[in-house]
Amino acid sequence: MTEATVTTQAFFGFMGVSSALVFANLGAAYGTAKSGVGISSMGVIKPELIMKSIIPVVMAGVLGIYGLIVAVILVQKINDNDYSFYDGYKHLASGLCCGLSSLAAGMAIGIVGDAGVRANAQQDKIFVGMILILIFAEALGLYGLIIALILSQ
Amino acid sequence: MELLTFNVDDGYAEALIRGMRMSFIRKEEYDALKDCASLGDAKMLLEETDYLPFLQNEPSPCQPNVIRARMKEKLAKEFEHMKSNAAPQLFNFLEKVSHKYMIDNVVNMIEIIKNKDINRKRQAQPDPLGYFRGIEGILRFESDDIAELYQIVLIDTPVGDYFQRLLEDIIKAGAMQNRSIEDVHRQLAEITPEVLRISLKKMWLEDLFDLAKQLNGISKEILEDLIKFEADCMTIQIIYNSISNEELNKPAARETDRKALCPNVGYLYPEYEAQLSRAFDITTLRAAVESFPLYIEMLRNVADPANEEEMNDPSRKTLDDIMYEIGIKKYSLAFDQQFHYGCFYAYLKLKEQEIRNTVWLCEMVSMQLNRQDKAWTKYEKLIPFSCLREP
Repeated sequence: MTEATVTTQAFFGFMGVSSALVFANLGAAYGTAKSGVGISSMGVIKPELIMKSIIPVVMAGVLGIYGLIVAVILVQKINDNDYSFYDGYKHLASGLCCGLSSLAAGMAIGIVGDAGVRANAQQDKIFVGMILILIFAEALGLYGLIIALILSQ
Repeated sequence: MELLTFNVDDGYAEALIRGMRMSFIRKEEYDALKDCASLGDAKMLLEETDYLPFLQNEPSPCQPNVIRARMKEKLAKEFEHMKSNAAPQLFNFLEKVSHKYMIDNVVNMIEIIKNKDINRKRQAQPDPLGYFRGIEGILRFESDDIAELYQIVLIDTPVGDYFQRLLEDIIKAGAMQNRSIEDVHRQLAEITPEVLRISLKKMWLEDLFDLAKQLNGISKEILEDLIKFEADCMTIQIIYNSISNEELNKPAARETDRKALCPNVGYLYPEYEAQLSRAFDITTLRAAVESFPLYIEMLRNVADPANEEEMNDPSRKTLDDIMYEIGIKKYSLAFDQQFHYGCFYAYLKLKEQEIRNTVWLCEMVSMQLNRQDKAWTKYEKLIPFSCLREP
């Protein structure tokens, strides 16, 4: 076989890999940064709440892991002699699904985490509400992961 | 995306203000001030706070008004420092904020000129926060024609724009009622300093609100909230004070004169404007602000202006005090978030409150009031950032 018969389809496949990872990490970074700023502001006045308030940061970090999982799975599937266009497009879709959903989830978690953590410092009862909202936001990333995994098979 | 871009221009200024936040006088120091036996002790205590460089050259005993002047000087110096380290957008904002103090200074000078009060002329000390070049020149104005004062001298000042707009408004109102130019000039000359002050402040607040709308997301959110609150306080104060003022409370005057004094920003504007302009006593005022729990709380325990007894009852808090208390909490919370200009505005307000508290306590100390008197504990609810401490 000549060396590069899968150039174009491999391009799509690998773009899927990179988009899964890159966008998911963007979302995780935004979530971590925004909530981190909130925790820093709030931690000055109520240090005992800091550990409880790390939850948004953890949830944002999980989004990065989603991206990592999908990227690893996709990389295993791409090979350099038996890769069809169909698979290439499928893997691109899979990567974009996971990546952009995690980006969206990360932005939501960042904003809610920031406001929730600061509000929690003033009113304890907001904690449960904040967790619920964060869970719903995280679910968006999860939906992306599910479809990405289905698409990658 | 303020996270990425704010620190480029304004990172230093924000770091500065966070550092200055630590310089506020704490509750323990206020309590120690309360226990002072004399003004000399009070001065020594204040020298242990951040105010040392400004107070150490004053001879003891230091009168409360001297203490106030020195504290204001310190605040003005800090403000200048902030302005000189600010990027253009922040500088514009801080300039706008300082216009309020300039308005106060200029209106005080107009009052002095009008009353031809030579003594006060010599002692007039403009608020250092509202200092601008040429401010001394205003007091040298010699003519009798007040309209000339407005048109020639004041137009050149930084707050000249507000006077210009005030003039145009009056001319327009005069034209609508077909009044002659001399009539308009006379009306201009007859504006009382109080009405002048409120009209100019109203224009300034609306301008500040417009400026805040152009800032980045977080700044806009926080500043709009603070400015709307201030505007609503102004509105409620005007209506409250007018209840006992016959002229402003007449049904005819309510719609025109009194409404013209209320700012066109705020949570109460525009939906409740109609109801507020019809309010004529404390019950109708309370009914007009029914949808806002904060304002209901504000007006709940305040004295009824129509009731002489309640007004003179010293155990009741005045509307001013209640507004300060609520304001302090809001301004303290403005330091919560990062990457916005709200903390600069809140810093000024909280520092002013600190100056008020300290001078109040010094006056109490100098008057040697009975320690059981309630006036001693007035400052306890008015300490900046106290709402953030453990209860």
